[in-house]
This record gives sequence, structure tokens and C-alpha cells, in this order.
Amino acid sequence: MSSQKSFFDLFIPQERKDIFAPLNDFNEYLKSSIAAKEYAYRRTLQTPTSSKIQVAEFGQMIMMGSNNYLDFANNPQVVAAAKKALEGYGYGSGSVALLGGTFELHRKLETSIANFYQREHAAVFPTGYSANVGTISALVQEGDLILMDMYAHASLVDGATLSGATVKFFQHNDIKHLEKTLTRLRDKFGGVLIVTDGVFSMDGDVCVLPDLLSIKQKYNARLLIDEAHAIGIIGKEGRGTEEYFNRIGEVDIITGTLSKAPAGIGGYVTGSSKMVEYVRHFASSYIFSTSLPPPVVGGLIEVFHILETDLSHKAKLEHNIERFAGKLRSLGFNIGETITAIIPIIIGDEPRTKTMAKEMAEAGIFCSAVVFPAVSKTQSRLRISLMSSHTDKEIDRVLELLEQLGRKHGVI
Amino acid sequence: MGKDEFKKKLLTIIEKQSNVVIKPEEFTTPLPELGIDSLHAVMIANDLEEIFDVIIDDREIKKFINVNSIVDYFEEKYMD
Repeated sequence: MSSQKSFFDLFIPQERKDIFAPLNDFNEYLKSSIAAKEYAYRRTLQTPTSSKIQVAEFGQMIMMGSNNYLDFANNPQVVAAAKKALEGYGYGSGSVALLGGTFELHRKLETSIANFYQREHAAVFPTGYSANVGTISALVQEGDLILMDMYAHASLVDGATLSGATVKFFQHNDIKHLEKTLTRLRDKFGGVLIVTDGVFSMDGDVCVLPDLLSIKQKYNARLLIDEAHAIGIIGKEGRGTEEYFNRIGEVDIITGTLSKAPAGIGGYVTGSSKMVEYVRHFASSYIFSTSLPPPVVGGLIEVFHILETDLSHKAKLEHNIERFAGKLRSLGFNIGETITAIIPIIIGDEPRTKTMAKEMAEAGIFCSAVVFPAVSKTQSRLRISLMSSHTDKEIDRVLELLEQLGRKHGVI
Repeated sequence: MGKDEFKKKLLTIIEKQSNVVIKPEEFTTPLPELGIDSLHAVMIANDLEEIFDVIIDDREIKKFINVNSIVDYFEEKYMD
């Protein structure tokens, strides 16, 4: 067998006669990574996910790596609603949504989502990933052009691939680059879809919505934004990117996940009735997937009720963001342009990032190291996610440790 | 345009977009190891499109593993 390969090498296609050919190399990589205690995936939680968790082999940890931003995953109101749905409708839905898997609960959830975004209609998918893949592949076809922000989520890229359209990326939030590409290519294609995250998952910054809206008008294109990390978090009432920019109702297609701030599982597309019904009947990931289980749907309906009526969770999260991000910036950490609960602490190189993540874990802080190929080689980072339920004391403990490690490793 | 001429043009574009000068002995070195990331690759693809009046689907950029693989890609798709 060849000498051990790096993680990057494993992404380079090799000539082979057996699809299992790369398995040995990957397993060697995996074993050595685990032996070096660098492997930080699939840690095992032994308690409900919240700001404090119990983790196998680590004990109690402060959770700084969850998308459960508003701590709804174990919120008593949400759990009670999920239990009620479990008792009333059972554990599974038994079919795909178009056939026997649509309960009155699913219709209520879709109405809640549409109302939240002030849209005519919404369709609920089994995951956020499948919502993006299904929506794009249903609406876009060969001969069309997809223009996508370089930092857009992988599910959007996969949806674009499945659609058969030509895909061009534009530099992150770079409207000049987007317009230059449109000027050059618009006439060579039929339909054009511009695709972006509302809030970007690795950087916590926000798309340049007003510019995107102008461009889409100017070049007769449609705009899709993925609100996965925006829902419940930005905008005066937490209604996401459109509300943040005071442009409610102007985006053609809004997708998102129900697994981050809403803390369950599922995805959605919302917009005009015509668009949503078309997607519902042409998206393979919707047509061929069993609908969400009733307890999850019951919990999510309650989540939307809380989002509509109680902004205290959002206010507490905003307090935590200000306390945490403000202090990190004053210490001299590079945390980019984030304004949300996603705080990227950019270390730069991979070895220091992995060492710091390991030392954080040893000190009882659960956070993720994000390295190449998820981000470019010079942008390795610790990705911290704040929650509304973090106490000032917990936040200060994490800040104290970051300051200590940042100085030790020459980051600040 | 022949392969050598294309390679020369490509190296100029790479240097312009990434400030990386690639030596002949590095033509098979993976681009990320030379400091050229996916952001650079998109801009390199854009320049190639403009110069050669072609459209490169950006999902094809994953085939741009090193300098030689970009040359091979272009040779296969666009050169006579």
C-alpha cells in the first residue's frame, strides 16, 4: 500500500478498477487521525443538547458548537407539543406527503411558515438539504444559468448540479463580480437563478440583499436565498434576511431548514402558491421522501408560535453575541464580519487550529475546528455557535480560555 | 493555440489572480499546496473564459488539480 495520504489527497480522483479502491487509504487516515486525538467528529452526547451537555469520554462540557441557537431543542413548551402530537398522531407518518403522508399537522406547519415569511404558501421537506436540492432541481433546467455565491451551502451546489444548468460562482458578496458575469453571459442562457445564503454558515455574515434584488431586476433573473442560519436570528422580529434589510416580500424563492434555530428536522420552500405547488410536484426529494414524523411537526408548530409571540430568546442571544463578539474583537481576534450567533475565530493555519480545538475540548468546551477543504487553507478557524441559554459566566469562561490559548499560540 | 502557448498564458493568469509563480517542477503539484484555493480557481476560470471565448461550468473546476490537469482539460475540450 502507498504511503499515507493526506485528507486532501483523498479528494483527488484516481484511476481504479474497483470502487472500493480508496477505502484502505481513507481508513489509514482515519486511524492515524484518531490515534493523534485529532479526530473530533461524532462525539457522543449523553444528555439533551443545550448550553451545558454531558459528552462521552469528556464529561460535562459547555456547548459552543450547536445550531440550536435559541435552545428550542429541549424547550419545555416545544417538548410538550411534540409529546401531544406523538400521542395524538403516532410516531411515523407512513407515506410520502403527496400520497398518504400529509396530516393536518403538516398543513398547519406549512401555514405557520408561510405566515412567518408573509408568503402565500410553503412546502415542508424532510431536511433543509433536500429542500434546497429539490427546489433548485425542480425549477431550473439545462440551458439555464445558476449564479451562486462562492460561500453558498453545499446543498445549493448539489441542487444546481442535479438541475443540469450551467453554474458560475461569484466571489463572496461581490456584486461587481456577479454583474460582470451576468453582462458577459446573460444572453447565452435562458432562465437565470441567483443563489445565496441569507446568513453564511461558516462566517456568520449576511448577503448583500438590496444589491442582489437590484441585479435580479436588471438582468431578468430570479433570486433564491437560503435562510437556514437567518431564521429566528436576524431582523427585528427574527424573520430573517428580508426583514433585516426591510425588504419583506421581494425575494422570489426562500428556502431554509427547520433544524437550526427551529431545532427540529426538516426544510422548507416558501413563496407564491404557484411556485410552491410546482416545486411540490416536481422536486424528487419531496415526491420520493416520507413526510416528517408527527412529533417533530407538532414541536415545530410550537416553535413558530414562540417565534411569533416571544422575542425574549432572541434578545438573550443578541446579548450573548454582543458580549462574546465584542470581547473577542477587543482582544484582537479576527472574527470577520459576523453579526450573528456564528462566530468564526480565524486562526489561519490548520495545525494551530486543530491544537486549539483539542485544548478547548480538554478544558470542557465543545467547539468545531473548520479546516480545508471546508474553508481555504489560510482560513482555518474555530467555529463557535452561541445560544440564547449561555450564561454570562459560561461565556466569560470560554472567553478567558480563548484569550489564554490565543496568546499561547500567537493568534493575538 | 498549442499546448505550450496555452500553458504560458495559463501561468500568467494564475500569477495575476493568485500572485503565485509556478515553476516547471511544480506543474504536477496540487494547486492548494501552492497556495491557490478555490476562490483563485474561479477567477482563473473566468479569465480563461474571457480570453478563449468559452464557458466553463464552475463545477468543472474540481478537475483543475494542478497546472498539467488544467492544460489537459483545455486540450481535450477546446483545442483542435
